Amino acid sequence: MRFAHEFRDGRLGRALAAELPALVEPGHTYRLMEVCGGHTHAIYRYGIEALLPDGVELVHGPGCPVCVLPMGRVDDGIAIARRPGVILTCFGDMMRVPGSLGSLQEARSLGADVRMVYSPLDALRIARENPDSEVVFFALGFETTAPSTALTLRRARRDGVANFSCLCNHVLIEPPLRALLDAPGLQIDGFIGPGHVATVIGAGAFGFIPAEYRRPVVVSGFEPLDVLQSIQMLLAQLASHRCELENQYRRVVSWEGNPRARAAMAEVFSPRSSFEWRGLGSIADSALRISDAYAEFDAEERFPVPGVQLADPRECQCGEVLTGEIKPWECRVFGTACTPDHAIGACMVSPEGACAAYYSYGRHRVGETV
Amino acid sequence: MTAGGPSCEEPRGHGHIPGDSCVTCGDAAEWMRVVEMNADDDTALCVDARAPIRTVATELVGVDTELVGVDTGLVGTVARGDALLVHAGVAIHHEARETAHRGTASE
Repeated sequence: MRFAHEFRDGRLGRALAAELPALVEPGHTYRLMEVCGGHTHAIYRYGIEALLPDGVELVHGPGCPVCVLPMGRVDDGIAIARRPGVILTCFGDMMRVPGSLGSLQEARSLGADVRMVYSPLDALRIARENPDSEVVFFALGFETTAPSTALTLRRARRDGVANFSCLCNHVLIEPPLRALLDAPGLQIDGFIGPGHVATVIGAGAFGFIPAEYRRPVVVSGFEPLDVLQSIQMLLAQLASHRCELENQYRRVVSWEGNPRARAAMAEVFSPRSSFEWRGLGSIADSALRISDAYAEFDAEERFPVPGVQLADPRECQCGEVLTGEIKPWECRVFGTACTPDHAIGACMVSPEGACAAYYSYGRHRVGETV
Repeated sequence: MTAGGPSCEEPRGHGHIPGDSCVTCGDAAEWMRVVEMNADDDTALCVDARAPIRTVATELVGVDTELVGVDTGLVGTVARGDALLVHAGVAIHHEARETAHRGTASE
């Protein structure tokens, strides 16, 4: 079956990995950042790091939407969830992300009506089934997920579902990448680009990385052979002193993306002038709010929210993990005070978070022996 | 369809392929195959694209897994047998049947 099995063939993977040493200059270090949390998860799940030659290091980027959400936004969701008559819906991973007032899961244990959904369309269904309640969807995610929220709000308007609204935390991929690339002392030699974000916005959207920052980028799929081939393509570019945008995930990603999805986003959302990112600080035009045309579905218009910017716990080093400055196992609380069961930082909450991936697949034990 | 992993445990009406991550919170998406369309509502009933399906000639006569609803509003018209890349219950990419079946001798 070509959608998955062909891209999980161990024999092909080993053959591909065998080509990598020839692309690496002895004594040279190559730091490649996988932008997307889904790639981080695949890298550890399939043990891809173990197949790489010495000198090739993978750095985990800020592409997990749960991990980059600041504590203040979690508090905003909890404040809404605590209101009488409100059903707050959110994706599964969001439930356990700690804010300063606890998590949504803890709010539920204290009586708030917080429900997990797989899709914003499920949240809309809950609104239809509970006409006497206010149903709020805690929306988050990059451009892969934002179109599904946009589609849901279109449907809410079409069907006149007046008791539905959205607390919008959708974010955009380009601004944080620029923030990373603008950071002094950045030591990243190439980027593995997020394949499903590119399905929506198009591979061409990543052209600014080689054009303006002189770093190669390969838009990648998520199966192990996809990731290995993308690494091979990046190393080949570096070996031949090329700096280009390449699309490994051509079976899905086009240059221009999905125009219907982009149109839905443009109709329903507007850019936020500024948004706070965990580890990266406030970044201009890096997130989306509900547009004026859909303001009646904006939970921030419908309910008062604290809207407070809060610093992360002092012991937490998620910010340094998200910017690639340290490996997860180098965090001072990794695996001790901070575990998936008792997460201090958001990178340990989401399975796509670098810390959770390291912990779940035992890579921290490798780190301990280094 | 049952929930995928430890994260999203209460899906209703939209597919979540068994795995160990929250497909919505990562940049993940899953392939599904169209079984039945509802053009009036831009939705389709689908099955996991990896699941076995029974066909007679080119007509699908049965599936061995649960049907799930997928919103097709972002990919335009779909037909039975087409493959959809689905994220959070919404198709973000569409491959027509001929393309979707090319090289799928194992099905």
